[in-house]
Amino acid sequence: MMNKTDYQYNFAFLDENTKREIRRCIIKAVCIPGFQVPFASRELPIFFGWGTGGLQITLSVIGKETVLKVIDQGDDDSVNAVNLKRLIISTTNIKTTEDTKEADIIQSRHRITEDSLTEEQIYIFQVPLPEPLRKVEPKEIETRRMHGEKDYGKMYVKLYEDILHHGEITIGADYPALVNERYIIATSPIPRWDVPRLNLSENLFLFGAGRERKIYAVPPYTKVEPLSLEDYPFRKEDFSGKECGICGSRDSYLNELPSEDDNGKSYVCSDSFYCRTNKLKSKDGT
Amino acid sequence: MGYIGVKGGKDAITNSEKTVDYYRKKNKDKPVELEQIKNQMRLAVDKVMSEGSLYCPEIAALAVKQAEGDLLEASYLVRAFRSTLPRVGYSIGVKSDEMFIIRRISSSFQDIPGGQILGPSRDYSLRLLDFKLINEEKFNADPPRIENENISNEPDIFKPMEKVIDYLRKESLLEYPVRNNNKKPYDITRDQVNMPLERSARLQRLTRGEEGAILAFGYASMRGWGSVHPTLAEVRVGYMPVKIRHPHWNFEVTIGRITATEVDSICSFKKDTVVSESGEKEIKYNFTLGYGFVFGHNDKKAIAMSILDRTLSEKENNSPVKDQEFVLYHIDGIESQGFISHLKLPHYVTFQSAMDRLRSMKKNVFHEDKELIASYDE
Amino acid sequence: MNKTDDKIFDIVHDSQKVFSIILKAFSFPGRIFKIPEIDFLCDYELQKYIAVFGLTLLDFETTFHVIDDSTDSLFKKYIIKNSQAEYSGLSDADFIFVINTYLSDSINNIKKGSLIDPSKSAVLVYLLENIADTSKGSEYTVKLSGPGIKEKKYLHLNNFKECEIKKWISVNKEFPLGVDIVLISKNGEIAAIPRSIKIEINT
Repeated sequence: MMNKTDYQYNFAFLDENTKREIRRCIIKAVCIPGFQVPFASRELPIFFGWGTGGLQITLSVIGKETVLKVIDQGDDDSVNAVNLKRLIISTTNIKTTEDTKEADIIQSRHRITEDSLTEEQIYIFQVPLPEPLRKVEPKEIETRRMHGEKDYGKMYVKLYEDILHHGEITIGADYPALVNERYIIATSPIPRWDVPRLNLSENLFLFGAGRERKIYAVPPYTKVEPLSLEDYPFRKEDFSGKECGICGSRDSYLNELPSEDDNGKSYVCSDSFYCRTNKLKSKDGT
Repeated sequence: MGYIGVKGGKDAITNSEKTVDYYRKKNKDKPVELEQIKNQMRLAVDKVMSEGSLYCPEIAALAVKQAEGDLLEASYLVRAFRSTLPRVGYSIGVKSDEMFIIRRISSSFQDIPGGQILGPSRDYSLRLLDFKLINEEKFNADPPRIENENISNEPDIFKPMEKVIDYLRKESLLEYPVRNNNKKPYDITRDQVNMPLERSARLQRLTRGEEGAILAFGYASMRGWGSVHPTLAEVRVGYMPVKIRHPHWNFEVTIGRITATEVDSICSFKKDTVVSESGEKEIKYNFTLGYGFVFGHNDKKAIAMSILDRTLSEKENNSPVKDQEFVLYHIDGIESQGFISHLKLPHYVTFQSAMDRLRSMKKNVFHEDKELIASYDE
Repeated sequence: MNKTDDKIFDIVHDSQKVFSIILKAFSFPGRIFKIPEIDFLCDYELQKYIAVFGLTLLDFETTFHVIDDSTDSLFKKYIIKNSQAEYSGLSDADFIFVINTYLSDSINNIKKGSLIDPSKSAVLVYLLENIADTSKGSEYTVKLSGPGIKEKKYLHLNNFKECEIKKWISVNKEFPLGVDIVLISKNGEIAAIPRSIKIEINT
């Protein structure tokens, strides 16, 4: 054993039984939109909490011909995205891309690409905390019962209290949403900006939580409604009057950057590929 | 526009890896050999095997070396390696009465059949730094000789030793474990984790748990958050044969041995109403049992595990340490270090969303104040 | 080297290819996909595509049951031998293969999951003559709507008993409890009807 300096891992790292188990869970997740299917998550060569759930789904779904895109915060070149790609490539040798349209599978942490997605694509989220009810109920046994009975009163009470104390709903990212009029899900966490994109999308969304051992899905053409109370509708992040300092976009999710000039801050697109193509477009004078 | 894109993730990672490697080697001294770690860092290796959940001293030593002595990191390396290993078969359940004992103590009785054997232990050593180790020259490789003339009969460690709890059971003072014959034990590495976990699954979560976390929760239980203050029936450390059934000829074959620590702790008694076959009700008083078992030599983890086993077996749930979810979700060192460490990943997209909320609410406060002032004016 | 040695089902890459089609079928209910042609020596050549489905999703951690119109139970033996899945009674099975026949009333005995965990339920896999989305030669159509379907979708099942479809409707009336249905034709077409789908029969 100790002389094995050239240890060989299986294609896509996971053993075939693990992939089968995850594949079966993915199918159940698609059949019961928004329900968190428990699965026996494996330890991977990256930390729990760093995308192991999304990664296990990706590794179970990809084949030799798959073209993969991985982003973190919308950025293809972010250290964690690069690191995940490094592991996937080293055990599969598949092609990766930064072009959203070219990708068969997109694995993402915290964002949905600005460019629209197609029926052919699968979008895989890394999820740290899959339980949307955890904020109002710490116990798993209880939250599972609440989902089972569609007993979501506590969640609406929290929204109501928010409005009572603060005048509006205080949830930033990870805004809870109701899927197919049945299950409340944690939205990954993506910003509120991206939540409407889950609704009636053309593509399949898969959510993987490795440490918490859950897989759930939003199939294509599925109703996804952010929770709201009457008179206090769901609102996206407000970027009115702001634009990207690189490509000039006024309708993408922006990152705020503290800087020494420009009144102390500037803005830039969080989706790095979108920003690059948008800049090229404007250069072409279109 | 004052923004310079922070790019080059791949290069940054590669350079960081090179740098951390340099830190291990920068003093140009002799590489530590795995044999040295295995032999002289025995307890570190044991801890990594226990939390990494893989019995292989060589792999654990390699992990300790690679992790520069960060035992949690080393345990993670071992766990990640473990999940790639194919499962070739299942052993027959190990039996601790077959253990070749190197240490065995009981605090329940002054003496026990077979005798109390301190064995390798620092329990009674004075915690004084041994400066002689600074310039240690050569090891004396001979085992220590017993120099007490009063001991005429050395304990026969080769003889299987009856367990103290067997004696208590014969005396009808101790509960029997709940048997689930015919039922495959839970496998937390293969089965979905669904709370509440049955006992076999709880014990598996506990034995792979992070030592510090197991100690903290076990300690909390003893201090009154779980009201288990046991008496140790027995702590035994030694080598246990691992056997499998021969795939073709169906007889038992010993394939190796493991070092392990096993603890039976006697906890407070309980009252059970048993309905006999004839339908008569019988009231039974028995001591309850807590069980600890860990890879390698680690008394304190095994003892704390036995406390938690008992605490989590109790029916009422009136304290955090009695709550399965509170304890079992949070004791795994691999999971907790991962999630704590993930805070180092970029979170600027979600933080932007949070800033948006805060700014919006600040505006609300401003409006509320105005209304308030307006109402005073009236 | 024996030529047939090459012709084994590649557990790594073939099952990935087949799985990606199965996932498509579940993601777009009622849409007909084609199971990839895999050149391997299948001693169950007669119903190769349903065998491929079994080899892709089953392993020793799953249980299955077969309802077969033939008496030789070749399919059952084939799956046990090649997937290590455990054969079980109808009510315990994770996968139920219905080959050229119907479940009828025994559909009431299969696993539908619980409210706490509806995923602990069976997948029904039917082998049938053909599936089509044109109404040629079909007496009735099945109208589907729900997650994965843009508006509505029609399926035409030739020579398939209408009362079996009524059983599907009844077994899936208490969402999220229920079963997920896969239809595989002898020509390798596959379509899925998850429990989230509303089924209506147009005659």
